[in-house]
Amino acid sequence: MVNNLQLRHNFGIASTSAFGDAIAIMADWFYGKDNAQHGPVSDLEIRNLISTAQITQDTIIWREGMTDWIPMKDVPDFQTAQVTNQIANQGTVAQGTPGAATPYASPQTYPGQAPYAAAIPTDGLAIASLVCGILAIISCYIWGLFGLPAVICGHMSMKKINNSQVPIQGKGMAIAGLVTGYIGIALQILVIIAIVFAAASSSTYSP
Amino acid sequence: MKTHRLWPLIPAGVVLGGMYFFVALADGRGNSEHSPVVECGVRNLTGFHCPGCGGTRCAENIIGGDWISAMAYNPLLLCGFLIFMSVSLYLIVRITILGKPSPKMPNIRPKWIWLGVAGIALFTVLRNIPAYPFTLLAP
Repeated sequence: MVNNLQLRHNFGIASTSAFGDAIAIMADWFYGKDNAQHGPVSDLEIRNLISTAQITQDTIIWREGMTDWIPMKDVPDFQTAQVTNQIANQGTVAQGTPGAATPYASPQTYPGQAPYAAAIPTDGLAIASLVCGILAIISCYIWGLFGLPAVICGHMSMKKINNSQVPIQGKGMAIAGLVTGYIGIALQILVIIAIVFAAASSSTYSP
Repeated sequence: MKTHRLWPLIPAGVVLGGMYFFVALADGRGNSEHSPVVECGVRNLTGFHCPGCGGTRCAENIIGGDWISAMAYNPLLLCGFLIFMSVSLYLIVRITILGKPSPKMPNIRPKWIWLGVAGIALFTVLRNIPAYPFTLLAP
């Protein structure tokens, strides 16, 4: 099998540490895990993380000089490390190679992902949600007018942040926007009920 | 002039138009009997000033040009109005007139938004303290 040969070949390279050390000097990696950005870590630390299975081949990583975040499996530097890890974990060479032998044509950009700007991007929907939520609290008698968009934006933002592999800032703002938005809607409903009751009682007792 | 460059005009127009409309509804100082704008519910129920209290009189004075009186009724609303108009003006010049790309929302750091929230909360607490320097903040 060609795959097996390739695997053994890669395994051989990974066991000689000279290759890894050469990259470790120049590369500081960032990786996304648990909705947060971690790093910078060195090349060797990344290899450590791979071997301890703390990051997988689908973990998105980035370093200076790369145009975009890409999954681990598409970074040629770590394919040897991943293969070694797979062998170590499974004890067999049964599975195909995750990257080296598979010509994955993975997309270079992901929907909703801003270009790396030296910091984690903030979700605009979360900001919109919190601003609408504050307006909903402040505005008298028309709380619902701002509460509704606050809740809608808040839920959209939470969904986006929770489902994103790339770290996005703004979860706290989305939660605050949701809370204030729901308070606004609740006030609105209470006032409408009060007005209806007032109207009903006045019509009942009027002569 | 490309149409997609005109969007910064919309929020500024909506806010200014809304203010004129609201003040016209409120119909003069104090809430007259014919005015459909009613007194603040938070103030009536709890007796506390909410951060928006004095907003109607503040808006009337902004439109009337008496910004010192506007400051006395609701300094937060006046500051917010000025900041909003400055940002709107910046966006109109940058996008509508000069045609540069709009600044990216993801570059806004959450801490600035939280700072604004903290400012509003602090203002709300301070204006409800019934002692001399703080009573200036109440309408």
